[in-house]
Amino acid sequence: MRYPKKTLSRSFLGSTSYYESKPLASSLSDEQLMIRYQNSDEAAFEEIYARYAKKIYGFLMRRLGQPDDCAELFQETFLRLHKGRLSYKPEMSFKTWLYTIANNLVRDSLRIKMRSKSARATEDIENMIERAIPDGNYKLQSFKEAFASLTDDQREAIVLSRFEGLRYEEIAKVMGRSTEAVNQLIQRAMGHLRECMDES
Amino acid sequence: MSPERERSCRDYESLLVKKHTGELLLEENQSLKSHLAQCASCAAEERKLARVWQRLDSLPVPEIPTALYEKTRETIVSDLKRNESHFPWIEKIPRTGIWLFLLPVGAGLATTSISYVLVRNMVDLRIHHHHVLIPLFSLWWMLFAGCFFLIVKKEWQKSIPLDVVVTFSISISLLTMLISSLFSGVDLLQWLERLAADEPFHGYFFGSAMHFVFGWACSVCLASFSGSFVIGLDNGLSLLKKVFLASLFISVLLFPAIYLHGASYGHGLDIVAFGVLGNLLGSLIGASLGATARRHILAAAT
Repeated sequence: MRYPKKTLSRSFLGSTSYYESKPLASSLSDEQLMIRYQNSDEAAFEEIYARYAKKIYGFLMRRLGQPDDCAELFQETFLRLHKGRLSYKPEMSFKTWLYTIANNLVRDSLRIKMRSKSARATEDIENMIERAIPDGNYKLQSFKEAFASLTDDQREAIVLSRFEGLRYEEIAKVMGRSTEAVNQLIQRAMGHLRECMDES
Repeated sequence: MSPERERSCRDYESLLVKKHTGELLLEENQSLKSHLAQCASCAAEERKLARVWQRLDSLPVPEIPTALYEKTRETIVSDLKRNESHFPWIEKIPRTGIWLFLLPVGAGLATTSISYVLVRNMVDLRIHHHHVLIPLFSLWWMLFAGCFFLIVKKEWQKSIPLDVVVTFSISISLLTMLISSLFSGVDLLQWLERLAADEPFHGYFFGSAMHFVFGWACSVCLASFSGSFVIGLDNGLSLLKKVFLASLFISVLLFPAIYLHGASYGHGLDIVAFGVLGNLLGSLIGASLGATARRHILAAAT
């Protein structure tokens, strides 16, 4: 197996790795990739990043709405992942771990915003929604308004379930709540959205 | 709707949402299916929830900006490259629990013992400076232990300067042995003493005794050369700054002993100055030649 040029430019003292057969990073689970990433395997990081960068950005945009804030938190999420990678334990779900990092950053950011300007966070969500609405689609706009009017916890739970594909158990870990509490949040969120759709 | 049926519908209410979130157990799914087949109200509710669930998909999310994606990726990749392990065999060392402390201590003791065995024959403790050697070996041992501790903790970046110091230290010990054996089996200090005794017959260089001072300078230069050559070969010139810093550090570490030895024969800072010069010169030439050799090998390999 011939390794790429950039691998050859590494330390000579590590030359045994030139001849080791490594499975393709894309065939590994998130947890297996993290073990490699902990050992500074660049390809493992690239694969994790390719798998999660868009998802995390989507998560942040749905939660915050402001591209500038999202860009900052997006970078911070992956930098925290990078700096904290050695503290990751393979028995943990990587996905849950990563979303917990992102979610904590969002909460911190919202908390700061709420302190500085009350209700600014909600405005941001509404602003994001306004930008995303195709012109003249009244029903869609109402639905987006309904989504924006969910409580922060409800929105958090719905986003993690619907868009990020997390199970209730995983959402509970990310949010630091019980599984039943997550169930209740999603039930209420869905009920609220259904009622809004009925009204419109 | 009868109260009995209403109770039943209320029970199924939460299952309707769970159906969409994929949280239904197999038996719950079957039960819900049979209930929906009988209950028009719940079936209508289910259709509404399905529309809500689908409508969530219509909330568009802007694509991640390419510049942000690349910038974040680059930041982390370049940090990974900086922290790349120079000694992959260390990956196999256990690094949990008590091993985290035992291994550095063991490694430090072992390497210092080896150094001591190599160096002890150089020194005649009846004449020379055991009060210098004791702190010197204590420092070495702490360096080795510190280096291994950082490596075991995977803090490669921080361990690199210590790696360099270790390389230098070993080089100096080994080259001292080599020089000793080359000069008719006498150890280095005896050789230098002999040169010092011959000084009046060989003249002076810039006011300093030529052979005695150059003996030390050349041996240190050779030692630095070999250490730096290995580092240059392994890493190119990326660590040149650290090689120089380590070179200065080694100078500080070793030169009290050299100074005291020189002082026995009437030399002072001149011997230290020439030693530092030899050390830096050896580092520069060694690292440059190592890096050149590395370039040639890489070019041949690719």
